[in-house]
Amino acid sequence: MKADLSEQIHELMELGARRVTMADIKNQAPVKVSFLQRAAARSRLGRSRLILASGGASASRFGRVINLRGRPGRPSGAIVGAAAGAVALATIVTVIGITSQGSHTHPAVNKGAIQLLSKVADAAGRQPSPHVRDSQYMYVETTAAVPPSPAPLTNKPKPFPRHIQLKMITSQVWVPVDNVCRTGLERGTTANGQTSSSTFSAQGPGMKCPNIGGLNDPTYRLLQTLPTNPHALLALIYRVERGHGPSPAQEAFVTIGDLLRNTIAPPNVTAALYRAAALIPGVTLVPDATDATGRHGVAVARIGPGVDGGVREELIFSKANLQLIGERTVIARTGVTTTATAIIARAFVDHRGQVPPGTH
Amino acid sequence: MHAAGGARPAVRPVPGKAGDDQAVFERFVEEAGPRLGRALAALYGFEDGRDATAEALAYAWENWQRLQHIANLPGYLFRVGQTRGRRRRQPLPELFDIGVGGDYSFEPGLPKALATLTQRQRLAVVLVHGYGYTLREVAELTGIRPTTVQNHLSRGLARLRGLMGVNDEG
Repeated sequence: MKADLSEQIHELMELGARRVTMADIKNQAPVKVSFLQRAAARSRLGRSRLILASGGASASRFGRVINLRGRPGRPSGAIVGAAAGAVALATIVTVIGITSQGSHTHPAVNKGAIQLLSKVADAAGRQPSPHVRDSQYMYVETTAAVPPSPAPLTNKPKPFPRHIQLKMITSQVWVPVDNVCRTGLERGTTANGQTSSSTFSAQGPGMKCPNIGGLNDPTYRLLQTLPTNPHALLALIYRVERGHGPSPAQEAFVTIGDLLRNTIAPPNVTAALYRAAALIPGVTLVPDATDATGRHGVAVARIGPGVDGGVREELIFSKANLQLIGERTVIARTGVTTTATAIIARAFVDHRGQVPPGTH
Repeated sequence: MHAAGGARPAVRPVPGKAGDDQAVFERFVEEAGPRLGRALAALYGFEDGRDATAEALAYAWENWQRLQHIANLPGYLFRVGQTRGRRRRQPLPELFDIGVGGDYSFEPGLPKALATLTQRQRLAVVLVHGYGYTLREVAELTGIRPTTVQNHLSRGLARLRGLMGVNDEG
């Protein structure tokens, strides 16, 4: 018997775990990802966040559409990231380039941002509480400007880009109100009208069903359970997200942004989320920010770690009614927008695939 | 929103000439690929772990322009790999199957014993014990706190020793 367990483990792993080569990677490409998966990946760890919910029990947020290998002509698993196809098909319709206003973060930190968040929270808290039935779906429609995929690996290097060209994708998501194990739907539409859709469900081995989800894949029923005291709420977010990302504060800020943007939270929870954001150190005011559809607003932002001055995550509000209209991420030093989202519609609907009246 | 203009065009954090993305990416794969591969193999076994690693790296390439800004990219990709790996269902006892025959000197029971540990125990045992990573390195890659890694390591090792009847201190 060989005594040293370390050596044995090492030997076994070296024998079995063949190194992944560039050829393996090329064979995987193109890996198609839906916008929501990108959003999930981005928001959970990038700039630096994770896809895994911290408990490990629940899957990524709307990125429960996990199969990223939806290659044409190849049958993939139970859940096909069909919105993924939309990403690949998207035409480049907009150029969000080097936006000069992007680099002018208000020098006076905190105070302006805190005042804005306070007003926004007040406005949110005054909204009527919706009456929501378990059988309904939370419908969230967003338009996003996302970076295009780079050229295939085999292509020759291209000249240095002077701006990032972003593709526009409209995404519609129906999340069950009461249970992440019920089937939801995601539909993606590209600028040239190509549509694809896919269903998702958290149901699977190791998943306890029914389940109201977690902070990273919340149902409305989960959102109703969140504390309405901003300090308690922020403490909860810090606790759940502990160990994720390079900075707990940035992690918390992005989590709050995700919850505000991708869901419909009860008014008192929405207000608490804004007040919790105001408690995070380093939150600043950006007097003019633009969402994915070009709407201007005022933003609160926080810069996360990264090169080129870090990445600034902005939550953009309408100056008229103080409602959240979208978000944007900007390379802090250069002012280059890397992604942007515009919230188009949010409502509770009775059926999967149903669009609230007056939306289209 | 408008393009170009007088603002600085410096998008790229990577020093070097235009369009050397692929070279930079290949270097990244060279440096971070093994770490990622070992961690995902520890979680999901040889086959699924390798697929998850390749998929995570392919995702990295597809999103290279955006992702290269991320401070802890291997950690990010570990998470990406997890979303792939979790959907795979290789039978548990076969996770570390190396096929019949072969020239090896570890205990024949080791692959199956390793497969019975929890995922986090395997991560800790393989990376720390098998590869000599520090707790901090594992924590950085996996997002699990160092003290937690330590706990999983002790429990995992105890279990493994129990299962295999080995005493690597003796």
